[in-house]
Amino acid sequence: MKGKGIFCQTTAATNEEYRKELKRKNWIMALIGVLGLAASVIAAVAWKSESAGLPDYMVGVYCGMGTGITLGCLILIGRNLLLFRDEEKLKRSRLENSDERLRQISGLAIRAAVLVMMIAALAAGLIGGIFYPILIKAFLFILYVFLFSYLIACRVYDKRM
Amino acid sequence: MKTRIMEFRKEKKVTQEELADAVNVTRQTIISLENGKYKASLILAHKISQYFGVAIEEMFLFDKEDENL
Repeated sequence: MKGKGIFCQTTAATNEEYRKELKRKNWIMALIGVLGLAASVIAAVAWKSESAGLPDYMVGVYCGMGTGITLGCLILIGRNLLLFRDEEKLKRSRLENSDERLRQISGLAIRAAVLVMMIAALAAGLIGGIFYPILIKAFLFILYVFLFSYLIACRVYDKRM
Repeated sequence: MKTRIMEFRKEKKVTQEELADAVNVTRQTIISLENGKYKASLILAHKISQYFGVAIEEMFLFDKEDENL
C-alpha cells in the first residue's frame, strides 16, 4: 500500500479541482513554513541575546522544529509543483488521496495510532510520574484535551449527519 | 457480500485499471472488491453498477449475514 499523508485527503473529482485544491494547500503550507522559519529565527535570536533566559535544550527544540516544519513544507510544495507538470501523476495522486478504501484505511490507522499513543503516554505518565510528577500532569492535560475535543467533534458531526 | 464485478468486467472486456479510472478509485480498490476483502460504499456501488448498466443488487450480492446488519 502506498503511504498517503493524513492531511492529503481530497474529494476532488477531476484533475482541475485537485489542482485548485493543491494550489490552495501550497499557500497554507507556505504560511506554515514561514511560521516555522520565524520560530527558528526568534529562538536563535533569543539564544544569542541571552536576556530571554531560554534553556539551551528548548532553543534546540524550537530551532529544530521550526527548521523541520519549514523544510517539510518546502518539500511538499516542490512535490505539488512537480505534480502540476505531469497530468498522469496528478491523476494518480488524486485517486490515491480520494480513494474511499485508502481513506477508510487511514481512518482506522489513525484510531489505532491514537490508542497506542494514549497507552504510551499513560505508561510514561504513571512510571515517569514517580520521578517527575509533571509527566502525569502533562498526560492528564492531554487526556482532558482529547476527551473534550472528542465530545465537541461528536456533537458537531451529530448535527451535520 | 459477494460481487459480480469480475464477471461483468470480463464480459465487457474491461481491465481493472479502466474500471478504476472510470469510477475514480485505485486499481487496488477494485482488486479488493473483487476478492471480497472490501465492501464498497453506496456511492461506489452505484457508480460501478451504473458503469456496467445494471442494478446494484445485480452487481452486489448480499448474503443473509449482511442483511441482518
